[in-house]
Amino acid sequence: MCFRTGPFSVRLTSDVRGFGATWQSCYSPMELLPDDMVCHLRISVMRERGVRRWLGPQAVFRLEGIQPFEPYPLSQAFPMFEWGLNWCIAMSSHYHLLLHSAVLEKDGKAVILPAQPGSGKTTLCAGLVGRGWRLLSDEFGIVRHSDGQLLPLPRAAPLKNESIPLLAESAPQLSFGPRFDRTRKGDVVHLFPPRESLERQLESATPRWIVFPRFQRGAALELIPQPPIVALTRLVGNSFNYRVTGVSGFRSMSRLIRSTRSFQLLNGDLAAAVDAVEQLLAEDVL
Amino acid sequence: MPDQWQHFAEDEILIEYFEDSAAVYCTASGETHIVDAFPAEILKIMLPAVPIDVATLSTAFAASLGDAADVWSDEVEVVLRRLEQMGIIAAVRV
Repeated sequence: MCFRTGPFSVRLTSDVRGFGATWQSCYSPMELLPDDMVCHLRISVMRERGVRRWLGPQAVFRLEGIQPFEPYPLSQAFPMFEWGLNWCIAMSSHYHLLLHSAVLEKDGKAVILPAQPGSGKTTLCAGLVGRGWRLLSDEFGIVRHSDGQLLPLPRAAPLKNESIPLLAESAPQLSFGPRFDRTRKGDVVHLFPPRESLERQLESATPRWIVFPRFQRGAALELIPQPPIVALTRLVGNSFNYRVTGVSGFRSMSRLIRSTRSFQLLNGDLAAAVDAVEQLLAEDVL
Repeated sequence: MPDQWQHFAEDEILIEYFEDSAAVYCTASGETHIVDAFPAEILKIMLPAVPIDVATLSTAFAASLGDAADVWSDEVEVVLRRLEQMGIIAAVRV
């Protein structure tokens, strides 16, 4: 099948039992595209055919017929596909500036949450979705060079380990996928993108705040303004493709910094962190 | 010592000022440099991209602070050499 996800089109083939059902429950009503369409990415998630299939069934991810990763256990085909698709986009989509960040929008104003793994980005992102923020992306801040708008890429957000029960308890109204134990990134449950996010996946958002989250167990909440030059330096280091995009990337990055306010958000509690971002919106600090 | 110093052309060096600092992008290297207040101000004075000597630069910079030019000439020269090493300006021999 061919489908659209944000600004990208994907042709996906799979023979893994149960993979399609998980995909459907996550992405319905994702816009399907004509089967004969030429897509940005051609991906397959297939059962491993070698002798290994008798020892421990595995799934193989391929992009344009090339296998960039080692196989995953067959039962982890869905998270493998999600991580693989993200990798494909990060490696090839240089006509936009790509930040490694979550992006959410409320009342027409978007917050960018750039972060390294382990910073609590996905947990905070899910917490904000639970408070009614529109999920643009958990993984990519896609900045359009022409106007600086943020493009949605609403995909499943992988909650890990202790975040799983935390979100299940604090935002039970959200939809979650099956649990995948002992993946390469720990135990994982995906937050499925809300229907509204999928239906509005072609609707860009205007960046308003950049919030660098940092989770630290037991830490008191601190929302510390970041000087623009510090925010720019951090975002350059955070971007997937800043160096590749050259002058366009520099101009887009500079415009993004000028049009937003930046903060460091140190937190040890999800509810307090969500409140802090909500407070930015309430005060419309700009 | 070079007689004068000059910005590269506008399509070779892009400068964005943020408060008292600046981000400088070099198209030749693809590098982004962050410079603090002093070199940022020197670059601003050099923006017309015509050759300028240390004395003129120091005078212009000192004037913005109400100082005498000779107070700043040594520091200005050090900054110019750093900016040259970063590929942001070039020495011009007349």
